[in-house]
Amino acid sequence: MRTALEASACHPRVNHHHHASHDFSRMAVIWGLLSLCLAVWLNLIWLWPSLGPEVAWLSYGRLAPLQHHLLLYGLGGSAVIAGGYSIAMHSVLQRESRTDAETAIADIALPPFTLKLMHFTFLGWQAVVALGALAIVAGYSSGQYMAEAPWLVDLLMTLVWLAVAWVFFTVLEQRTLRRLPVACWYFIAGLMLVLIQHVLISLSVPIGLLESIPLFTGSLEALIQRWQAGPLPGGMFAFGVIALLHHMVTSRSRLPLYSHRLAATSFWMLVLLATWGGAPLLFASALPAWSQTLGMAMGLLLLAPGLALSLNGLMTLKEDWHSLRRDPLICLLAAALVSYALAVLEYSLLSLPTLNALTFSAANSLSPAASLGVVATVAIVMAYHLLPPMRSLALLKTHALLVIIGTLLCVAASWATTLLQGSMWHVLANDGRPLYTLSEVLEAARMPMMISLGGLACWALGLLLMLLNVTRTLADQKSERQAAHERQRLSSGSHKASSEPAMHSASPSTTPPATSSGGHYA
Amino acid sequence: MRHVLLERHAGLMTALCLLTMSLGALAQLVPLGAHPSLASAPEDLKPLSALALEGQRIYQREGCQQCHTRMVRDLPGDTARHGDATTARERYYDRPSLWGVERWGTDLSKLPAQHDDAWQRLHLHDPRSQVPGSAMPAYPWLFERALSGEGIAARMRALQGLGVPYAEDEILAAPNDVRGTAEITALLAYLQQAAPASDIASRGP
Repeated sequence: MRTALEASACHPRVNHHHHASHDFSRMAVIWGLLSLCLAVWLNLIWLWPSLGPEVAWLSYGRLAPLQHHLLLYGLGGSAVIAGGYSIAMHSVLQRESRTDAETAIADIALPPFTLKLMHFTFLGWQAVVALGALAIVAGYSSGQYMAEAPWLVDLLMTLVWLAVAWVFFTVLEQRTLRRLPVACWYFIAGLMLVLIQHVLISLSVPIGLLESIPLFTGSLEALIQRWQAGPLPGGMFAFGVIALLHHMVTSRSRLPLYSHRLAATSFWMLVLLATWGGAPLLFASALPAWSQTLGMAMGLLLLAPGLALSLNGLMTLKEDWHSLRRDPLICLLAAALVSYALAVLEYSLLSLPTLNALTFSAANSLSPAASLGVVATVAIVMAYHLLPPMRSLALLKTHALLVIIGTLLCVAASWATTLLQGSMWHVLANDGRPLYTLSEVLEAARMPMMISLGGLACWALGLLLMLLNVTRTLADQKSERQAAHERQRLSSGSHKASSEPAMHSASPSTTPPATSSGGHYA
Repeated sequence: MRHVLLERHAGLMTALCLLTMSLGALAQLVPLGAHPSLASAPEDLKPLSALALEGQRIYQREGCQQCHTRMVRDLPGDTARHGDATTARERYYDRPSLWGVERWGTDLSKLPAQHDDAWQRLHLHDPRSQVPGSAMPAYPWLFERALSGEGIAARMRALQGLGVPYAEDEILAAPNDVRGTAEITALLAYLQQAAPASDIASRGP
C-alpha cells in the first residue's frame, strides 16, 4: 500500500475526479427530473386515460419501463458511481473533508490510464442510460423487469461497471487508512452483486443488434429477473446506495459510526441474503414450492440486519441531533434511514404468506419506500454532497421538505392501495365467485392514485428546484474562478509558472482539514 | 473470526463477498435447473408457432407486461377469476418469462372464454368502447402495421439452438407464413396460444 504522498510524487497531480463527480451529479439530477416528470405523466394518464396520445412510442407500456430505467440507472446509477469514487478518495485523504474541495483532491494522483477510465465511465454510463432509453421507447425492450435495455447496451454496461471497479480499487490501493471504512465494504459488495445479477440476467443469444433471447428459461429466468426487481436487499444498486448512506452519515455529521460491531454483523448478514431477494416476489407462482419457502424464510431473516443498519445510522446521527436542523442534507439522510427501515419491514412482512397474498393481487406491488425513499433520496443527497455548496439554502431546504412529503404521500398511497385492493381481491361470494369485479378492484386505487400524484409532483418539483439551484451555483462558481484568475494574472504577471494554487504542494498529513468546505451548511 | 483481517485487505473482502453471494445464487439456481419441472421439456407442450412468436415480440415491445401478469397464482382471488393456477411446465419455453410484476389489468394467461376474437380486437382498438372506465391505452397502430417476416427465422433458429423443438421446414416456412399479417393478429395468436390446450387437458393433480 502506497501513501498518497509517494503516489503523487510519480504521477502528475490532477483534479479530474472533481470534474467527474460534478458531471455525474449533474446528469443524475437531469435523469432524475426526467424520470419523475414521466412518473407524474404516467399517473395522470392512468387517472384520465383520454389524455394519453395514441402514438406508439408515447404509450404507457413504453414510458413505464423508461421511467424505471431513468430512475434506476440514470439517477441511481450515476450517483452510486460518483459516490463510489468519493468513498475511495475519502479513504486516501484520511480526514474529514469533502472530496470536491480542490485542496484535497489535488493530493490524489492517479495513473493516466485510470484517469482515462474514469472519463470513460462517465461517458459510458451516460451512453448506457441514453441508448437504453432510446431502445425502450423504440420498442426494443428485452422484456426483463428493471433490465429492459437490449443486449448491446447490457454489454456496454458490463464494461463500464468493470471500469468503475478498476478505478475504485486503484484509488483504494493508495489509501492511508489501514482499515476499510464501512462504506467501502458495502461498495465492494455492491460492485460484486451488480456484476453477478447483471451478467446472469443479461446472458442471452443475440438476434441482430437489438434483440436477444435469454439463455435461461421459465421459472429459472423469472427468479433471476426478480433479484433485480426486488429493491431489497440485493436489488441492482441496493448495496451501492447503502454504501453512500454510510459514507455520508459519517462524513457529513463528522461522527464515528455508532457501533462498528453492529455494522459488521448486519453487513455480512445482508451479503448472505443478497441473492435471495427474488422468491418473496414469486409467492404462489409456478416457482417450485421449496424455492418459495426457502426464499421467504430468508426474507424474514432480512428484518434483523435491515433494522440494525437503519438504527446504527440513526444512533450515529443522534449524537448530534441538532445537525438535522442545521443541515437539510443530514435531515434527508435521517429520512432515508427511516425509509430503509420501512422498506425492510414491508419486505419482511411480504414473507408471511397471508400478507404476500394481499400485495400482488391487483394494481399494487412494492411501495416506493425503497425506490423513492432510499435509492432516489440517497442519490440526490449524494449529488448535493459532491457539488459545491448551493447558492440558495432556502431552495435546498424547500427541496428537502418536498422530498420528505412526496415520499410519505407516495408510500401512504401505495400501502392504501395494497390493503384496499388486496382485501377486495380475495373476497369470494357464497357460490365461490369473486364478490368484486376487476374493474371495481382497480377503481379502488383511484383515490390513492390521486394522493400519489401529489407525492410524485412534489418529487418532480423538488428536482426542478434542485436543477435550478445547481445550475446557478455552478455558473456562479465558474465566474468567481474566472475573476480570481483574472486578479491573479494582473497582480503577478511574471509568475505565470506558478498559476497552480500553492496549496497543491502540501502533503495530506500536514494540510489542515478543509473545514470551510461549503457543502456543510453548518 | 477476526474481522480486522478483512477490513485491512480489500481483496480478501471482495473474494468473500463474491463467494457468499455466488453460494446463495447457486443454492437456488442449481437445484431449480435440476427440478423435474425444468430439467426436461414436457413432451406434450407445443412451442409457440411462428405467428405467436411474433405476437410475443409485440407483447414485449408494447410493454404489456408492465400492467398485465401472465401468472395465475395459487390463491383464491386468482383461481376464482382465472381458473387453474399456472404450472411451471406450462411455462417451460418462456424466454423471457413475461410473468409480470404489477397488475393494472387482467391476467393474460388465458383469454377469457366470454370474449371472442372480435371483442378483443375492438377492445384493443378502443378499450373504453368495451369496458367503460378502463385505464388501458388504445393500440390503433397494431391494426395498421403488417409483419414483414424479417427476423422470425433467426429468432426461431436461436430458440432451436436453445433446445426448442422447431422442425427445419417450420423455420423455412415461417417468414412466408407471417408476412403481411396484421400485428394485432399475431398478438392475439400469442395470447390465445399462451396456454396450449393439450397441457390444460393433461394437467396432473
